[in-house]
Amino acid sequence: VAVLAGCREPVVIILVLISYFTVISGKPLDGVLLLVVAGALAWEAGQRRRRGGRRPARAAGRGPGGPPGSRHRPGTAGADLAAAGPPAAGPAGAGTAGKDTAGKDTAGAGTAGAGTAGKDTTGKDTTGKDTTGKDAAGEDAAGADAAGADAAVLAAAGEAAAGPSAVPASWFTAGQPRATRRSWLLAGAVLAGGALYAVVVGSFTRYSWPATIPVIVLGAAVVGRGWRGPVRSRPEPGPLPLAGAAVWGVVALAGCLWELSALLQQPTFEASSYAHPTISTLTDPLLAGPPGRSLVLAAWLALGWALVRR
Amino acid sequence: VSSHSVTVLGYLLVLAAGLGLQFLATRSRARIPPFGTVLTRIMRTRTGRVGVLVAWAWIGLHFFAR
Repeated sequence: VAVLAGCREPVVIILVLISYFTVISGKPLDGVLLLVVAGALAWEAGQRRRRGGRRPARAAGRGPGGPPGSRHRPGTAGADLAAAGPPAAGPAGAGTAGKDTAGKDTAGAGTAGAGTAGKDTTGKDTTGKDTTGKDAAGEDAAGADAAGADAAVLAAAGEAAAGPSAVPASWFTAGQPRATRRSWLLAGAVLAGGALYAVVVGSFTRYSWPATIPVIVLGAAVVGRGWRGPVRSRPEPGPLPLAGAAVWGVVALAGCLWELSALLQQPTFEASSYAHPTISTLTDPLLAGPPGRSLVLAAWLALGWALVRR
Repeated sequence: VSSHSVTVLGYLLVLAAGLGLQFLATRSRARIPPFGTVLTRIMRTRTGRVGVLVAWAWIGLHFFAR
């Protein structure tokens, strides 16, 4: 019953549709895996509905909620900062936190920067910057050290909440380089691991078991990690302009329908057609050799890294 | 014009529309949210987050797994 109740979720419906077309295209393993996730999501959504639709990570009265288990978000931190009153530390500590955060994470700059520096500690200013910020992902592209920025945000929030002179300003100046160094090391390790993965897996023939197993393992690990919530704090995007968001939906739908029409015009679902090529058919030449496969795998990994951090 | 060219042109048009929207969203005052913001909004819930990550995993499975 819980699964049936959750089947009304649009994401579940989309996953079931993709699963169906994947299976009839001759990829039963992919289809079954998708169906398992769709079932789990439907069950979880059904359970949530039965509990009354409450979202555990919802920021108290402050916009839509986040996924269960999500961490304290910068937007909320900023609001807490404002609620705690004027920042406590002297100019040195506050200035350092604000400066280090700026330019690394838009929301971080909005909360810790403005709030801690004592320019404006009202909720209006801090949350305003969070919700009206342009694409936060753009700023995040250079954010290998975003963990440090988040640390500054949370540290600044903690400082304000603790009250005047509860935390020495030197804590921030001493902690920041360590966090940045750790972030750089992590980024380097991820980059090296990703390159190794792309080269090794790309050297295997497509659709072979040696290529299949690492892709399934990594995909399952990323989806499992995503199930637990975001890996880092993100600003609440705020309500989207409905018409503008709908335009994106129209473009995505057009792409899907065009691909589907090409698929349906193939001689069979498993035989590709030159006259009506699907995206898979068009990418076959690129994926025929190890260099192309490694390149595409690297791009796939980079996309996954960006998504899992979002 | 062959069917092949028309099909490829369709993909290119969809791609161009996406790039154009992103350009409008980031470089103009049009009330179009950037793609990243839409994605963030979708990924705000567990269902949306897992759905997007599964779509990513599916791409890898589709192109490389048996």
